[in-house]
Amino acid sequence: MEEKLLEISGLRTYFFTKSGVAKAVDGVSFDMTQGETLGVVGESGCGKSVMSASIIRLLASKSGKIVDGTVTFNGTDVSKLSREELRKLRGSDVAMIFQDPMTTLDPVFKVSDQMIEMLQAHRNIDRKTAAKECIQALADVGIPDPHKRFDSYPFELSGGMCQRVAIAMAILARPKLIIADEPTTALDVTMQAQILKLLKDLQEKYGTSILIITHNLGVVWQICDNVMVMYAGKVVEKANVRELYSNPKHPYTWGLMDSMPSLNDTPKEPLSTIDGIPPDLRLVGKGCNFRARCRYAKQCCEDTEPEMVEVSDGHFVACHFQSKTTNLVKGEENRNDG
Amino acid sequence: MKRKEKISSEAVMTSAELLKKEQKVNSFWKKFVRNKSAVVGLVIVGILVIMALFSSVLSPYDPEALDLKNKLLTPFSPGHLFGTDEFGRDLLSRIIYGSRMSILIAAGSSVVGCLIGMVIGILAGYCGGVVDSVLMRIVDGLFAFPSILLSIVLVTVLGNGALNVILALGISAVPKFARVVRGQFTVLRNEEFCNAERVLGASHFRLAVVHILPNAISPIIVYFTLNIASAILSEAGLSFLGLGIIAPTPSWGNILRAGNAFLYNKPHLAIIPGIFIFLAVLGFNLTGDGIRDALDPKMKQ
Amino acid sequence: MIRLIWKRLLQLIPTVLIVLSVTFVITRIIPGNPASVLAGPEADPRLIAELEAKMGLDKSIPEQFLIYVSDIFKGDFGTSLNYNEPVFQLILSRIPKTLMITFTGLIVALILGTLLGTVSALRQNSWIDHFCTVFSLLGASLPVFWIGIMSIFLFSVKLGWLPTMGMGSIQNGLWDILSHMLLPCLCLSLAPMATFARTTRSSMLDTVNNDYIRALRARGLKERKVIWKHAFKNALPPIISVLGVQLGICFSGAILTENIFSWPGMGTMISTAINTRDYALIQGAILTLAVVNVAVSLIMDIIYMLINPKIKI
Repeated sequence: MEEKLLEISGLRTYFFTKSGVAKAVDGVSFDMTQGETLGVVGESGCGKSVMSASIIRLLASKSGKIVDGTVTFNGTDVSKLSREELRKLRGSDVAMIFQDPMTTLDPVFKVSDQMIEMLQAHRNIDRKTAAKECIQALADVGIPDPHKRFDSYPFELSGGMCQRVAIAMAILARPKLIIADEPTTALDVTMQAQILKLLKDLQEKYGTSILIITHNLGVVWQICDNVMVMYAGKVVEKANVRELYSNPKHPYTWGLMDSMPSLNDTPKEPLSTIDGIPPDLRLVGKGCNFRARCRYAKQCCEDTEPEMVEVSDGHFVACHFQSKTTNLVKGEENRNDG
Repeated sequence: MKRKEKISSEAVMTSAELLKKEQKVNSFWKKFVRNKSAVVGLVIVGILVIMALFSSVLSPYDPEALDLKNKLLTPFSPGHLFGTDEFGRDLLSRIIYGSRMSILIAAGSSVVGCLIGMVIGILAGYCGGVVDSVLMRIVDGLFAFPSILLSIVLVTVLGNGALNVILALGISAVPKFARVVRGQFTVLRNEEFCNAERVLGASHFRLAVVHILPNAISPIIVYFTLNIASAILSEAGLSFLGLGIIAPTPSWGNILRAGNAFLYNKPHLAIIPGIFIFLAVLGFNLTGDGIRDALDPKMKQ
Repeated sequence: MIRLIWKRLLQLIPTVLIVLSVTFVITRIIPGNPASVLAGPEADPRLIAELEAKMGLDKSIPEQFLIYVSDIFKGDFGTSLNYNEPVFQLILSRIPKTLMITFTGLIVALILGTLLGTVSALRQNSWIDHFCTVFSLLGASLPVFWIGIMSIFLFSVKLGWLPTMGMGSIQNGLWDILSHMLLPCLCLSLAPMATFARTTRSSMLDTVNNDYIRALRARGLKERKVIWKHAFKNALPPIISVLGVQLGICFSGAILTENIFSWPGMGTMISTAINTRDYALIQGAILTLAVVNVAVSLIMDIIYMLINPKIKI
């Protein structure tokens, strides 16, 4: 049995607004081992980012509350940590990389100030030694002329360069887990590939685990070991990458995979999409959240929430018509009783 | 545990219901009414306006009638709720008539300032270029004078009297209005809808007044309300210095000025007019803030 | 950077010209001929004509304006009728006293106001936040002269803790001056303090919702550093622009406050000048205050440029 690095069970994060309660994360459970790369996919607004922020209890809005669930990191319950212990955990054991690199660096301080400050927040180190380590980290993430960049303001750097700086800061304290929240979405395609390769290389070098949030399945195939598909605050399918790629089970996963452009597509044919939009998170709660957009939905999808079942070794899915005994096949009519 | 129950009961809402709820929650009037301080402000303003409109009905005495036998009475004296001043004039009546002066001057000067400011702001913002630079440099020059100083000087030059105070305070308010309107117009004139109107052949005047102005009006309304508050303060300040409205005509500022001399033994003569000035300013400030928040919460500077 | 400052200085020229024209126009529209006022009632018309020639009133308006401007630049602001002294000298002796209370008031307001605004932004909806909201309302609505009167009533008349009038004398020790300064400064600082609190609060609220603030927290920085170093520096620009405007408001307040506390600054001088129709003095005084105001907003703009890293020095 491998050592568990991160265990999350029954995590619920709700946003309390005037017009209702938005259940951004509604009962998510999973775990990660040391060195694992886990991908979380789903459309915008399905709760991926909130889920990842909940791990280190760093929600963007004050109306958000973690109402239930436990997060165990490296054997300690994160919810029981004091403010100071939580602060020490952030950045040193768990690092985070955000979506838009241009806005994750403080615009009015130099890169050098921000990097040294971060090191000093976790270690007792003088400025000179810290600066040396920071420049080394910048070189490690492939920044040309690191001395010059080190002395720049963020607005003097390009988007890709900023993201490299952000990654350099993330690895600076040699964290055990890096949470990367759509790290490539704001970058152009060639830069995306470079950043992904960089993350993978760094992982091999330091044995870090990576939790990568993305809406791009291509990213998942490229670097992940395991995948988790989220929809409307819940996990709908969870499996090894190979298994999911070859044998996806949930109708939502099928939709996601179909809507991914591939080189084999006939040119000029429209890309297939999932009809409709994800439900308003203030309105979910009863039954299967995906039912309104699912062509296989029956009465039972309306009435009861599907349980997560293990259909094959390590492959979990939450659909009424997918289990060891029943089997829904993509494209065929659903003959199961609803 | 209780919270969880609440969540589940709220969860079963259809999207139509949610939309309805949102519309209800977001209408201007609902937003304004939900804001308790805005309602308080509006009530104060309402009372003041009634006081000003019906001064002659509401005041128990002639505010300028002397009664030297009953001078310097303390509050709650029989027949004189707020007492009397050094000439035996009824303070309550003077305060009520003072509200008429305050509201008249504050509203009048805001209208003057707003109209002139709007003309300058629209010209500068709509035309841009040289017109903008020249007009805004003039506005900058006026802005350099601390506002009460400008009013003081204007009243000194124009002479005392309500009309001159309205002019003086109005002119001092022009730079602020001009800047607000200009800011709106420089942004709006490049919006898509303006280009569309231009293509349709709207004249400059029509475009500026019929199409852009309505879109720029909300900050102007907010600013107008807030300016009434500061004009009440400035008027009181001028009268307090002995300029503008001169006794025996009552104004809150000159009542306070007169009362200041009796601070040692009859402090109510200074306390009461001050409270009314404060309440009036507070009322207009709260109303202005309320309108702003209800129109657009992002407008806070 | 240097070029920007030059540009800003060039922009000052029209502003100063406008200020000068306004003060010039004032003397021209004052009721009554200055020469006949100076000569006194029932003076010999020849004497008035002589005075007019001496004062340059027989020249054309543009010429008069040029003479006026060149006199100003030579430091000749005319002579005060009331004090019978050069206006320039009078102003020089008074303005430090006004600046003393306005700047002290402004600095106190800046420090306490930003502190209050920041804390209330961080603890939204707490008691301190409600206090901040109420305080900013009161500060914006309370008439400064009434607060002055009331504080005299409370601290001097009722409690007898503080002196009411004048500015004391340094011969009686520093405390004498400070105790005389305390109430005027407090009165003056109230309104700007409320504005600073309000501005800081909203600017801070905008700033702390930025991604980089979350990112800083995610990097495990101490909260104190996240707020007071990073968020505060980012929230600073609106506070600085307000600072420039508030000085003008402080000057306005000082004119009233000085009268209440008999503080021997520009304010008391201006109101005496108004009561005695000493136009040369009024003109010189408002010109001076306007110029100080313009100078301060220039300094604010330069500070604004200095804290923006996008402008290279």
